[in-house]
Amino acid sequence: MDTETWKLIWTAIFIVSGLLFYGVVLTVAIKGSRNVKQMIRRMLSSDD
Amino acid sequence: MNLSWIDYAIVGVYIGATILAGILSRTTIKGIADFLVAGRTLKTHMAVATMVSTGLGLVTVMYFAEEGFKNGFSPFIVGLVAALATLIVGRTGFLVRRLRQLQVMTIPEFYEIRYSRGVRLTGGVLLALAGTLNMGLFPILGSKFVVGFTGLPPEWVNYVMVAMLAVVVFYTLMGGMVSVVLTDFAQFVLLSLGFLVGTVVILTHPQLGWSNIVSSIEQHKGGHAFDPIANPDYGWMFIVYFMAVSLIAIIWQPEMSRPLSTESPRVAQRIFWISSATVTGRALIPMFWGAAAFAFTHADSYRGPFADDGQFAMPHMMGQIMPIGFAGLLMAGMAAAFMSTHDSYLLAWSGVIVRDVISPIKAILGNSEQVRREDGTWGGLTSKREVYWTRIMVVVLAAFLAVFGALYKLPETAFKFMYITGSIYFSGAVGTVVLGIYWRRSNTPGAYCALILGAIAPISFLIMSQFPKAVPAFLTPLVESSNLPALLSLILGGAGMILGSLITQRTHPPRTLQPGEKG
Repeated sequence: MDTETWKLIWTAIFIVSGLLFYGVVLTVAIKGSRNVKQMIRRMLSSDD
Repeated sequence: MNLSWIDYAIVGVYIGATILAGILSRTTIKGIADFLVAGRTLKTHMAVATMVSTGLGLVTVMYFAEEGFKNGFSPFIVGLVAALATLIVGRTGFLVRRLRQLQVMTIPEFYEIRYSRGVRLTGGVLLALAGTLNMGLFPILGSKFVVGFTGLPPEWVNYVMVAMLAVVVFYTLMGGMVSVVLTDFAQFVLLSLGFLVGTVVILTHPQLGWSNIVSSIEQHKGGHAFDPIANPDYGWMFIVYFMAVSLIAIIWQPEMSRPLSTESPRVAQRIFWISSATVTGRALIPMFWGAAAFAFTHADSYRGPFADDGQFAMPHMMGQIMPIGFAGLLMAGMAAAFMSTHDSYLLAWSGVIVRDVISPIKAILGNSEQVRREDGTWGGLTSKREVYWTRIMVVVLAAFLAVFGALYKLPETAFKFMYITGSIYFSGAVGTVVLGIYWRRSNTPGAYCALILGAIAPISFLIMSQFPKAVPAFLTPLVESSNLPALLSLILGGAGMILGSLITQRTHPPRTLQPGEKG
């Protein structure tokens, strides 16, 4: 493959991988925060 | 100094919150299973957050940026290969599902279930050696980022490293895996935000931007900076080796401790499926930053000292281009990246040293029965003593890292150092873990052969590359590039298990793992 084709490939992969990364980050941040709340609640109750 | 008081205040608040999390979580530790695998209670999204945080440390950002600085866009292939491997694991449950079913806390513990206590001890020593060496450059690279980014004098690099290590050691000692998981979640969000801010600033900067960076890389480095097959630092040999290593990299203790901490084997597999979507992005973004740093330091207007320094150039550029407030956010994100990796690695390697080296030695000396107890111990140290010694080892390892990072000189780039030190363990693990799970004839002598033969090539490379003039001519191909010894070690490790097992089947009949065996 020539250099121009590689440039196009890396541009496309950079955009797609960035979107996928932040899609997962957003989902995990929202859903995972419930787990965090549970964990903190458990720690605080065992502190008493 | 590149940062304002607002930036430092953001970083200060983040570090304060991290220390508080450590203090809070100390009460949850009742035994070694709580300390090392958080009592096996992790749910899917929490586990994904902590696994991504561990894989995306400041050291990862630094060595991927260095690859981007040196090789432009070609190293993007690394992210693609790693993502494909994670996808395969997530789809098939390769290794991870079975290991979680066995309820091991460390990989060498599997050796005691499948082979013998001696194999566990040998594997524990090799894993501890590989892991500690592999981690040797983490603190110094992280510290270089902070110094380069903030504009502190370069001679402060060792002081900054010690200060950052002290914070990590504190909260890891307090709550073990519980505090690690909890802080990882905050770190996951913060470092993702830092990534976003950094990338947007680079893409919108008048001197940088995608097209300017591509042009600069092409002008100075040519086609090899885009074509990973033609680039001599990569090529097919590297791609094949890296694919194989990426598939078995999941048994790298800090990575594996996450699926082993999940609430079920199903969740253990699922977190690979979800996190595979992040693998390419978390490699490509820092590589792109490195390529941007190259363009920045090779612009006609640049008069700074870092045009030839692949490690300092990226943080230096970031310190120059980030606006006030955003710089603090990026700095806090990178501090998060530093801590999320160090805490996991310190805990993982300390756990291996105690559970797979010290405890088995005590069990052998005490001639205790080779059976797993209810509290997860194997007849060596008690659960409480394992927690105690793991905490001691966290401090000892941190002290070692500070000295090693300050003194060691790299044979190649930091990334190559990471994967050659990782090979010391991975190569033997192909035979002992992969074949141990999927090949019934794997036995104890085969496991010894796999571990020892697999470690020879990478250890030889590390020693010979420090004394290149003393290496005989016929061995020079093994020193010129780490690709050959790395690939060779994988082949030797797998072949060692197959040949060693086949020759000794009668004298050492293999143990078979029962479905759901708990040891």
